[in-house]
Amino acid sequence: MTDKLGELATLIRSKNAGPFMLTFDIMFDDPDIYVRVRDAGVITCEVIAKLYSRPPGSVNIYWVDAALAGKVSFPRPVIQGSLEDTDMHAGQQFCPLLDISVP
Amino acid sequence: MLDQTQSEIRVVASSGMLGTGFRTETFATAMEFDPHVIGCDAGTTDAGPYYLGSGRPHFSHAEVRRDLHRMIVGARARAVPVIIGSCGGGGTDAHVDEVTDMAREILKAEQLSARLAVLKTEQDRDLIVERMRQGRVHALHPEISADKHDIRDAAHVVGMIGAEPFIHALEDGADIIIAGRASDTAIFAAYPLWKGYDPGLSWHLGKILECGAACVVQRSYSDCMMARLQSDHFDLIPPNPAMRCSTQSVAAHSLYENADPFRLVEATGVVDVSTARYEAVDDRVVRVSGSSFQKTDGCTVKLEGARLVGYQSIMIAGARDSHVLDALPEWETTLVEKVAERMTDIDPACKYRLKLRIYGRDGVMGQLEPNKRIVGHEVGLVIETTSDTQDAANTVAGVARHIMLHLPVKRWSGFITGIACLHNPPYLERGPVYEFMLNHTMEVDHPMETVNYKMITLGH
Repeated sequence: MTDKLGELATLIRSKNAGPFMLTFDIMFDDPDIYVRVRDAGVITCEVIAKLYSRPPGSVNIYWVDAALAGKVSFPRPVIQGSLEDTDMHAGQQFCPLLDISVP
Repeated sequence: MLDQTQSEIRVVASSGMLGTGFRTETFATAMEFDPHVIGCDAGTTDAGPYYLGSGRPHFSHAEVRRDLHRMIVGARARAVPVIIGSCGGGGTDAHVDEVTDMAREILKAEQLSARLAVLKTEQDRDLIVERMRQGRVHALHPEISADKHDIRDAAHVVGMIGAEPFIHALEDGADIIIAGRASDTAIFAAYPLWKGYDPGLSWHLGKILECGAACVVQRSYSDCMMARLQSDHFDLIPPNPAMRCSTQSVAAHSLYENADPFRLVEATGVVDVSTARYEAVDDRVVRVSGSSFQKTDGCTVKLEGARLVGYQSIMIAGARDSHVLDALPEWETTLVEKVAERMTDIDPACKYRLKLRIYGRDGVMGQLEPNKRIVGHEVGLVIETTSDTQDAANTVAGVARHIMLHLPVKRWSGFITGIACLHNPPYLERGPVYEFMLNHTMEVDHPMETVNYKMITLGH
């Protein structure tokens, strides 16, 4: 049985990490669910790169066990606040992550 | 060496951002804890490039004054220092002057005296260009190209200071320290480092406190946070009894607005929290230990710069006709071409940028949007025009409006009005717009080299 990441996490958010980086936090409150997602192999550099049309080498993924949280970071496609930017605080960039299926 | 006269250091952050407020009762409780230092960060790039570019403040004078007033009165009553970093959002000299004047007025009104240290961090452009030539300016990841012309063209360039300039001011007997662009973390790490406490713990404490109460389980409003540092751990204690920290909420805070949750690069080294341990002391207090700090050779300042891009006008409109929605990609291309033709006719020398944002398609995510289908029955349109003068931006906006309004679509023959304009006049002047243009560090000979330092004695 699979579940959507958006249903398993307690919080999924995106934010600037400085004007040049975009970062996503995927947070849980249940250690079992955290481990299930962490070890499922569905949040990988390749998956994220494809979802956001980024070069796979530009994506970094971290698992912070103490926080029961995963983190994804990659360079912003456009610099924060530049004429091409659409989201000053990058707060609405996480939504495609919600639909990732987790076995 | 550890200062034996102080077996622990109590640090209070009044909030995560000067001007966002804190509860009066919470601050009173924090003061009862007898803090050694009270700090607040006032800056962020997250607000956007406008504040650094323009020198205008991120939060209003009234909001900042409210917080600063209480901090100064609270700190002077206990004769402990107040540290403010990154004044005004951007940390320009104008921002520092505004907060310094505010502190001066507060001291005068309250008939208080203080030694006020001012640390300005706007950078000498010649020095940066010289350091670039010497290969002592380094691009950070992701790399943004910048040459000497960019440096000279910038509206403002600030150099982010670490803990040492704060320690310099503390050593000099400062009661109030007002700084330009500063590491958020250093505002809170400086005092414990000055007293010889463990650098890993001091910096980790700073990283958590710089966001005020953001490390609690549920931060419903902006408020104070406190840490008690001893030789081998620190405790995070929310002074607001309605708030509590959990091991998860504290550990999770290291993720916030950081690309890397384990390593935090500072002016003189790297804070490593990957080995940190988090233990619950009780149901509200969390103990942190095991974080480390790896000192690097020499000292750097992170350079932040913003430049004027031009002047902008925007127009808000919408489209409801499904034939317009179906034809949007071609419609957009035709619009751009026709505006170009018309502008060539009006003023061939005019350089401008025309940007059409389509809400309901990819207005929020732009090129990151995986789903570019329009599923709604209408879209919102924001048309931005940017040029060298406000008049020129207005001209292009006016031209774009008229062309858009009657732009034909294949389904209809005859003269149509294809968009709904929201306002009259249709465009709004946005004034000057700025962009960030540096992601670099610069080597400095010593931590005070790029700081314009002044000590002012106020009151009797």
